[in-house]
Amino acid sequence: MLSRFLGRRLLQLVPVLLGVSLIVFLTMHLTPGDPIEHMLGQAGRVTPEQIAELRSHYGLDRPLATQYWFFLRHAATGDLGISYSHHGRPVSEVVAERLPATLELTLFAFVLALAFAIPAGIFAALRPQGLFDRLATVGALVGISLPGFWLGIVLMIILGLRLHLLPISGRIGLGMAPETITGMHILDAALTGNAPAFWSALKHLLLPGLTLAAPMAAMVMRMLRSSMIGVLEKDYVQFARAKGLPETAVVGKHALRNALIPTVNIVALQTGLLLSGNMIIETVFQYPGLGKLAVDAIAAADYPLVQAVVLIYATCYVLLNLGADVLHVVLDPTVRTAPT
Amino acid sequence: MADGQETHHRQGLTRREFLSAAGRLAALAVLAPSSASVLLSGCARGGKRLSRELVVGSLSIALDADVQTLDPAMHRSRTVEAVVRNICDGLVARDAEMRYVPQLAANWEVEGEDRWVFKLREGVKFHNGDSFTAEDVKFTVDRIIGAIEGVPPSPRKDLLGPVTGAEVLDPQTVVIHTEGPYPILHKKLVFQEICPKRYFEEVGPDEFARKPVGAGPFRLVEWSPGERIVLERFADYYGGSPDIPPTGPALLQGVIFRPLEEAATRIASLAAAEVGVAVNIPADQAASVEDLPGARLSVAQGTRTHFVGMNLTRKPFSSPLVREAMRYAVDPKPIVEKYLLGRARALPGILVPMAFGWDSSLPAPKQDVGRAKDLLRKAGYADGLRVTLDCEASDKRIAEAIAGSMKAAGVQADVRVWKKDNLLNQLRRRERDLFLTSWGNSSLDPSGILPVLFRSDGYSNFFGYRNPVVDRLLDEADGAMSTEERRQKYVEVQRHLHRDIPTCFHLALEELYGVSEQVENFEARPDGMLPMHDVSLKS
Repeated sequence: MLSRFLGRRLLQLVPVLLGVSLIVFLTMHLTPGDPIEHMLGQAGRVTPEQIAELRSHYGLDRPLATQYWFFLRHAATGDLGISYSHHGRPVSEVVAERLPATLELTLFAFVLALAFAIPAGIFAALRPQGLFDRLATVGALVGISLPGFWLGIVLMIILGLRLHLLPISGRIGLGMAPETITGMHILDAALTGNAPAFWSALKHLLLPGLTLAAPMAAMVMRMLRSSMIGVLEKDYVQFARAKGLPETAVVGKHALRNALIPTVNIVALQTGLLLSGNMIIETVFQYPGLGKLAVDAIAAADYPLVQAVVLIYATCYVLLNLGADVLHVVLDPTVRTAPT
Repeated sequence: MADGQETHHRQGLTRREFLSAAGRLAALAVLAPSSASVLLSGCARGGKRLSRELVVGSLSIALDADVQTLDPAMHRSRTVEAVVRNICDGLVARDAEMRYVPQLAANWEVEGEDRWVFKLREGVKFHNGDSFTAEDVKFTVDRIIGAIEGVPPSPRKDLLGPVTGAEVLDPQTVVIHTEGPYPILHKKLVFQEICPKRYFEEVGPDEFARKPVGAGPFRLVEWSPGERIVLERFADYYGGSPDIPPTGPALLQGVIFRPLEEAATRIASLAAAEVGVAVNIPADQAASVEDLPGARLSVAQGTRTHFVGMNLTRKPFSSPLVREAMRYAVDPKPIVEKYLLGRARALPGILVPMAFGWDSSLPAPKQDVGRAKDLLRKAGYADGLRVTLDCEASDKRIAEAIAGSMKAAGVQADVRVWKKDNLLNQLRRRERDLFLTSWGNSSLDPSGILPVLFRSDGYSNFFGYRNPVVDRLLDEADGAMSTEERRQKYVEVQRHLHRDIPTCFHLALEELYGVSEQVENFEARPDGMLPMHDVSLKS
């Protein structure tokens, strides 16, 4: 049952990716800006022949439909083309260099957000309108309202410049990079037991991670709080209490599981937003990830690179939503028996 | 998903379902390998250990742009050039005063009009141990001008002007041929760095762009794209140009270049002592660098000119009277002093005073409201003129200052902002009437700016400016082997431009760098290069 559901959802990825690639392809080609002009910058005596030569080298002289078909055909063999702004380097290689950094930052922010949001949401729900709830609500409102770049700069000034607690840019200290296994420094350092590298990576992750996690933590915490309050009023919770179950079991086992069902969808949506938040946060903290790469690629009209990054984002979105639906099925038995 | 329809077909697939599933499978097969290849190549990179001396004895430099390639022949970026220049030396270099000095060339002479004979320095080694010979020079030149089969075209080709090829006379002598006389070849060679032929052929262009080998004072040890480029002192360095003392290996253990595109982040990194040099400090943030304890501001006159240009092919700027009125309408004083805090200089023409052939006789720009109004009235705009001033986003503040200063003279200019490439394209198609843009000319030779902008067929003649006399003078200057004759031709061109007024306001901004007090012997340069050979850290 579940595998059939999974299979169908995975198949849906295909039209989504095709659609996204077509939209990105058309948008990039229709927006003003020419990769060759960008490449030549303010070159002095460029002849039309020289421009034509570069254009044909990058296949830009062909009709749009041919270019798109070319892209699809090559993508099928794992070749995402060559990047214009990285002067002829394969796109897959350029993207692969940056992907681990973004995955690391996103996962870190994800863990950070949930580590705060889940306990805070539960505690706030246990005593609605209590002191903790009020404080958490104010905190959450601030977290949702503050624009990421502003929060990032303020954290940078306070924790980095005034208190000298954290480095303000980069991924890891000079010469400290651990042996590469996954490309995610903090994970690689943990896997190889390299403590100095682990701390260095952690310190570098904290500022961008906190900035990125803040809105997600706030949203998830608010969602969990309200669904938890709803669940705690349900009869079966009262019944569990009447049975004499300890409060930890009532809340942790009976109430939380049900309160998590609507929260899971919010978590998936917010994780998707983490990916887009990367674009801003990575620019503020000069964090060498996919988000910053995408911003630079758009500015340089680097069609193949933008295409590849957006396809990766789209895949992540679809997979995240799929993950949420699967979790939904696991958490909620009524979904399992319902006709799908 | 929970629609009841599909439950009716549980027993078998309909034709429609089958077709759609097959289509999806095919498309998955198309796109899946791409994602897999991305993930796999991501796992294949290895970490690298750096020596303790390198980590401690290095100077970190915050760049204002990212570096996409380290291949000297495959970019059009000043940032890439500033980094690559520390890895690869060229035949010719410039000292801090922008004088041309031989670097890998020992000397040169011009034979006839189209043969430049270069004697090369002996005992020079590339970082991989190969000796530097005339073959490497020939290879470098041929690759840039596109004379080698199968090598991608170089975007630096135009920087070599009419060079047609190179010829090896012996291992220490090479001839560069030009089509007709080209008196400024040595000036143009500062933009080209020598690549080792054998290594390039061994590793190919892709690998070379990532791991270049040169004969410069530093060798590349690590490049994490978007994060940092780590260079280490090359112990067997030949010493560099004797005209730029001291000679010998570099003083620093290493140099670390970090792309920090946001000016605020660069200044913050300087304040946190994460970097020792921060390039390109905006004029309005210069004070915050001056206020930093342990840091100072290093200032150089820039080589880029910002200018207000006009479209001569249509109204209202087809009228010489209106163009002249525009010249007197702008007030340089508040723009330079108030908006740019004195970190700029208003110029009478497009050339900066440092440039070869600068005409010092042109009058300094000055506002004359009465004269501007009078000229406008004669041109039929007695009630004033309403125009749009187009600019790119980074120049918005200057454009607004210019627009503000013209109000007194009855010129109402609305500022409109564009993305850089977008504006450039529109200007090349002559679709804008009045615009603020800029042109860099780090060669400091008029040939890098005047023909491009003002020749009738100039690639970036945004004005539709046509003056056969100017065209002829520019051609003559191109071929004049006598320095004085060339200077005279360019002076004449500037006077024509002053009369014809395709541009009405010119501004040269200073280059501002934030430098830590720990860094010795580093100063900002007009050409934006960052030669690290002579720089050291206080012990």
